[in-house]
Amino acid sequence: MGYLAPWSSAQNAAWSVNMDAITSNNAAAFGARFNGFNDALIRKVEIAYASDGTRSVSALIAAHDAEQPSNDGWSLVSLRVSDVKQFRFCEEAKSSAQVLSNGLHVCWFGGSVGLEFGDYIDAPENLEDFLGSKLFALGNMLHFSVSDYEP
Amino acid sequence: MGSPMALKQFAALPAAKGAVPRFSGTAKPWTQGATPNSVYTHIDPKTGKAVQNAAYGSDGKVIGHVDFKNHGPGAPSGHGPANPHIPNNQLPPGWDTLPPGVQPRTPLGQ
Repeated sequence: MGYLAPWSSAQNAAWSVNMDAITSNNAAAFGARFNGFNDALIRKVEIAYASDGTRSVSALIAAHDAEQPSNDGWSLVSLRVSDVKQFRFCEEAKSSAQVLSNGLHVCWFGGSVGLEFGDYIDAPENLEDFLGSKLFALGNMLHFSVSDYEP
Repeated sequence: MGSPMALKQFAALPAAKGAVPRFSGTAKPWTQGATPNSVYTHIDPKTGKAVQNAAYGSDGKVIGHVDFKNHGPGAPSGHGPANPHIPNNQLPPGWDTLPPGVQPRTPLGQ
């Protein structure tokens, strides 16, 4: 029988080496590159618990990429929120979060960064508003990486 | 701008104008289990303006979206390489119709 070793925070840090940080300074450029993730498609959402109890939420999203010359300009974007404080992914029976018709909202609240996965039409105005979303992750760091599109 | 998910399913909607059951609300559109061959208008609770129409096929599953909200610079490519946006003037009849008195958040084409 296999044993899945706990994912450590050190491994989390190592994983982030190959990802680029998104900060309030480069967030606008990040959003513009991927068209605000409007009409992007969520492929996967993953919650990881490290051995020290810290959590991370990762998402794989197919999105239009202004820097992608092939695949009609589509790429796969991996996003990772680290040191997660709160998250919620609530999907009702007849609805789906798969299509980001409202885009992906990247938000900063003090020292925290959050992803709001398009439950809201517009970016939340404040933390209280943000935490009312059905689809969010709030943590201390946000990283991303890009890979070639695959169907 | 329109962003249909499956061009091949356009014929699923009745062609006769006025025959399409229409609904509206501030909740996000369902993706399944809707009234067959209907259109739902998603209204922004803050502004009262329409942000999206969702069109449903004969099985009650969503077959297309018409967005009344800016989708960034040109909304270039729909929902993937094989699912491009279609021009607004090629939308199936009734897909971009809004409930009486409801304005689009952004008029199509702007």
